[in-house]
Formats: sequence, C-alpha cells, structure tokens
Amino acid sequence: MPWLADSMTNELKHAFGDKNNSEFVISPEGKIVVSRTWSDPEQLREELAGFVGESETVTKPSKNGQQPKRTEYTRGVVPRVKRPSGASVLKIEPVIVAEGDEEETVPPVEPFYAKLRAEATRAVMDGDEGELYLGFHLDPIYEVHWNNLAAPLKFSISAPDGVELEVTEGEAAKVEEKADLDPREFLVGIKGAGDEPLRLRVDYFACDNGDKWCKAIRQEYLIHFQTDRDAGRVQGGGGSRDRSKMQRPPGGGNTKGRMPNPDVIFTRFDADKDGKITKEEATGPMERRFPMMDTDKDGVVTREELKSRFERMRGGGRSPAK
Amino acid sequence: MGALLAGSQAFAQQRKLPGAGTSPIKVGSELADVTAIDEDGNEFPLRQKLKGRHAVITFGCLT
Repeated sequence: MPWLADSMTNELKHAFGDKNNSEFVISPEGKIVVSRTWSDPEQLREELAGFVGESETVTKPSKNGQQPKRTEYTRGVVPRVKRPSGASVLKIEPVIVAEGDEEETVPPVEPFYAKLRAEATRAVMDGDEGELYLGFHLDPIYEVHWNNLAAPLKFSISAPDGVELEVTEGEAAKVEEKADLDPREFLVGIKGAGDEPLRLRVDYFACDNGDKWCKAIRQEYLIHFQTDRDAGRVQGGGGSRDRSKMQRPPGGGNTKGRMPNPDVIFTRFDADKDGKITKEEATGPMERRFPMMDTDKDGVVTREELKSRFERMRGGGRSPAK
Repeated sequence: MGALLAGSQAFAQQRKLPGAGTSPIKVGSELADVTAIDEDGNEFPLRQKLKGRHAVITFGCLT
C-alpha cells in the first residue's frame, strides 16, 4: 500500500479537514464519495465492494508487516506536569545553529530527537501574568531514550525586553532509572509576552535504542506567542494534580505566588550593566512601576530597590513594619 | 483502485476523541488540488495521480 507524506505546511491535512485518522474514497472523476472522521476498515470494505466489486484476496492487517516496534525502555518514572487548563499550543520554530560560519560550510544538522512543545494560557497570550508550559518529548520516530547516567536535561531562555520570566533556566530532576522515555516538563511563570519570541536553548544526552551511540545534544528554538493550529494533542499529562510533584526549575524561589526572580529582572533591564536601571531602560511593565520602585527618587532603580519592591509585593503589598 | 495512507507530522500524538464529529469534507465535493510527497520523495499531485480510478485515502501518523 503506497504511503504519502504531507508537506511541511500541512497542505494535505488542511485540505481534508484537519481530522486525524480520517478516511475518504475518491471516485474516478475526482469526487469525494465517502468521507468519515475515523477510519473504519470493515465499513470501507463494504463500500469498496459496492464501488468496484468484491476482492478476490483479502489482506489482513497482520500480513502487511507494519506492526509498531516495542521498546524495552521505561515510561512512567517521571511525574507528569499538569498543563495549564485551557492553554494554547504555541508556535515553535527550530533554530539551526550553524558552526564554521567563516568557511560558509553547511554543518551536519543533528535531528531534533526531543521535540519542544510550549503552551500558554490566554492571560499569557494577552501579555498578563500566567504560566508557560515547556515539554521536551522524545520523538519516537528516532528510537532514542534519555541517558540518565549523564547530566539531566537543562534549558535556558532569553526573553525580549519587557518579558518577565520566573526563571530563565532550569534543569530536570535526576532520574534513578538509567534510561527512560518520559517527557521532561516544566512550568515557568511569565508576564509581558508580546510579539517578540522567546529563544530557548536545551542541552540533553540521548542514546539510540540500538546501543550504537550516546551523545550530548544542544538545540535551540524560538517560541512565538501565537497559537499553532497544527500542534495536535499530547497523551498523558494533567495526571498529577499534586503541584509538589511537578517538575519545576530550581532557583526560582517562587514559593509565594508567581513572583519573578528580582535578580533576573534586574539583569534584563540593566541594559548597560552599570548597576542601575534608568527610566530609559525601564520598558513595558517596568516603566509603569518605575516611580514605586525608585524609592529614594534619584531617577534610577538599584538592585536593592528592586528587591525591596519584590519583598513588599510578597508581603501583600504592605511596607515593612518600622 | 488505489489505496493510500497519508501521514502528517501534525497528526503525531493525536488520538481519537469521543464524539469526534463529522468530517467537514462533504460527499460530492471535488478532490482538493493539493500535492503530497510519495514514499520515494517525489511530488504526488492528488488530482492528477488519482484520476480515472477509485482511490482511498486514510490519514494516520507514524508514531
């Protein structure tokens, strides 16, 4: 039976109604004569008998040699993150990082063994405060697994001006099993998302299931705050309602609400790295809050003033008792 | 008669949902004038290739 692959822009999928596992019969004149949203082999056989007559030889699915391969590697050892309810799947753009640019050579491009999926709530899409879901899922087509004998997956994010992230880097928890297939997932507080994408870099160690190679992989993505209609669905996830079991990037210190790290915020806005945020450097949400942060009214916000402001916010917005 | 399995990367990890609904592609409508890629990597213009015989297209994913 011939196979067809869709184009990278999903022309076929869109033209046939965006339904996975849908099925169509086309007449010799090019008309759709059967259309259903889910394949039904028995029903199809009857219909085809009506169109072209009974088949003399019936091929059973077990005879076509297309049985999926089973893998010995473990699943279910890493707690899944509950993705934000009602979140949109974001458009992801892989970035090919070229090496040897000076010679203008085309470097060998490593496959994206782990695919990034990012989701964000409506509030985040509107630029307000919310949660960004990041999931790194091994692509089963490459038949690889995580190498847990090496360092866990870690990521770092650079955000455009005005975007506040709870953390800008994170690392997956160490897994006792020496190998597994579970996704590595994170929730990151974010505020101020807009038209400019986040740039994410991820480092991980992968091995092929045939034990031919294990290697360190580095990949980069742009995360656009636009809904991806072709993103599909993800199995599992949302199973853990116990937030204490969620994978969270360390170092956020986010124990009270979704408060960003003031050091991260300060570093982002202090564009000339002189230890002060000027009014010119304070863009986006920072611009509106500048007068409240500049407590000594000298026209600049210091790291201490920013931290003090965050402490007051953590304390419910009240000034510390004197 | 030709039977084709069409795979889309975008369908990966999708699963059937209860009450998936009716396909928006109506019986009696024209086959879309789109081009897929065959298993040898060649372009496969559906209208041109499927003309003159009954054909089945079943969508699915490789993973």
